[in-house]
Amino acid sequence: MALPLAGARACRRPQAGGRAAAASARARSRASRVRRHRLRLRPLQRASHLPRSLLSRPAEPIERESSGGRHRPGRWCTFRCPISVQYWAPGVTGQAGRCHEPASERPASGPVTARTANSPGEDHDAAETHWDPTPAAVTDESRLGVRRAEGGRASPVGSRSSLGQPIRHRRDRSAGLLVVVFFTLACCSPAAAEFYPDRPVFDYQKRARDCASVTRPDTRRSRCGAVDPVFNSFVNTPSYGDERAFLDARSRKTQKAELTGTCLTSGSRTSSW
Amino acid sequence: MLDVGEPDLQLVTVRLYVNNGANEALGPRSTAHGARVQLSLPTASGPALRARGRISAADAVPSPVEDTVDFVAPSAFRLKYVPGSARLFTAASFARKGSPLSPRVLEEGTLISNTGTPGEFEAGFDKDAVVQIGLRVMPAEAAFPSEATWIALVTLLGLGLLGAIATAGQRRATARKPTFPLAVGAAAIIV
Repeated sequence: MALPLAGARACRRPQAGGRAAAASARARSRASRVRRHRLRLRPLQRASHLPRSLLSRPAEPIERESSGGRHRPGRWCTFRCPISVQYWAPGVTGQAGRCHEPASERPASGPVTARTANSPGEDHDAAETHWDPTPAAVTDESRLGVRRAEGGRASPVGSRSSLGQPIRHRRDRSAGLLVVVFFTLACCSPAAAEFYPDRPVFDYQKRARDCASVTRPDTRRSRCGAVDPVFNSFVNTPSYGDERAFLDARSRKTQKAELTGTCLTSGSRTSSW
Repeated sequence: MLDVGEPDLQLVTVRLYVNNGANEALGPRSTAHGARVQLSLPTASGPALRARGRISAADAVPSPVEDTVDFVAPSAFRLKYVPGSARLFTAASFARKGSPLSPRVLEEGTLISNTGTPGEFEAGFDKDAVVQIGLRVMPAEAAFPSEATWIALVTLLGLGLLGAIATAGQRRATARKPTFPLAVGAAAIIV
């Protein structure tokens, strides 16, 4: 049983080799067809807004676009945002890395345009080092699927890392400031917390002629008091002083020393303390 | 702020002054309804504690009004309510050494009155009131176990538990090995 099998294998080997050769030939012809087909897709390859994975051969250097290519009808164009949207980001100031050019000195077009409009001979890196988009613009472009494949450089991630740093520093500073403010408030608020809430006070020393007519101006904030019930909002009262600080405490020792007489006199009544 | 000194079970009296500052010339409109007082005592212990008093009413503006009082001592202490010490002093109840207040004054608050109807509080300086509450200054309880001791205990307990589980698993594994062939042999004999 083993020998015929071995023979069969021996007989089939050339067949298998022939099949493999035929398959490789078919693959080569398919590849050549595909390559021919890909060659027709050069404008698509130049479309820098498509992700590299969609392109046929990402390892190959992609042909740079000519200066007038974008304006030809029926060809792919890159998306251009308004300049204010592209180059404004919160927290980016004149000191923030490479974005410190004044607006008047900036080119009128965006970074995508600046790169795609370069002539083939121009150095794209020079343009990028001169002027990079802000993270906001990068975010917009990333959302739209923009990949700058020209020259195999200037990925949005790189731009983000180069410009995200000053913003991160600013955020760190803001976070530090917030922490300081929080601890200051946390430390000082117990010391400042006495009575609550801040409310309109009525001065006992401010006299009024007729408390029954609340429309008289001299009754406002005077000894007459409020129109509606309000607790402990008088100041300068002879019995208590500032009523807003209505809570106090005394130890029994202190109390015994002070209990020689009455200490709370209010109108017609007295209260022992 | 009150320095209570060394916490040796001394008594402290907290006083809460209540006055309705409405214009009493306006009649019944100036009377507060649902007047309530509340004292929040600190439940923790420490060298500085704060109590908070609160007065509120259904028709008072603003409501509630709050004030605080601080207690300090050289060492950690805690405050304990003296049962039955909460009393309300008004012009009418002053002669009777005040009227007793519910201990709920330390929880959700209790109604007060200067007219006889619970919760009604009329305006006027001659109708103000004082709530007195007695507290006892207690030394702070010794915290045992401390945090580090507690962590060590829990860690030891967890390690011991893990060790016990591992030992039990080993025992089970060693016990299964001889019993399994024996059980198979017995089954074969029976069959």
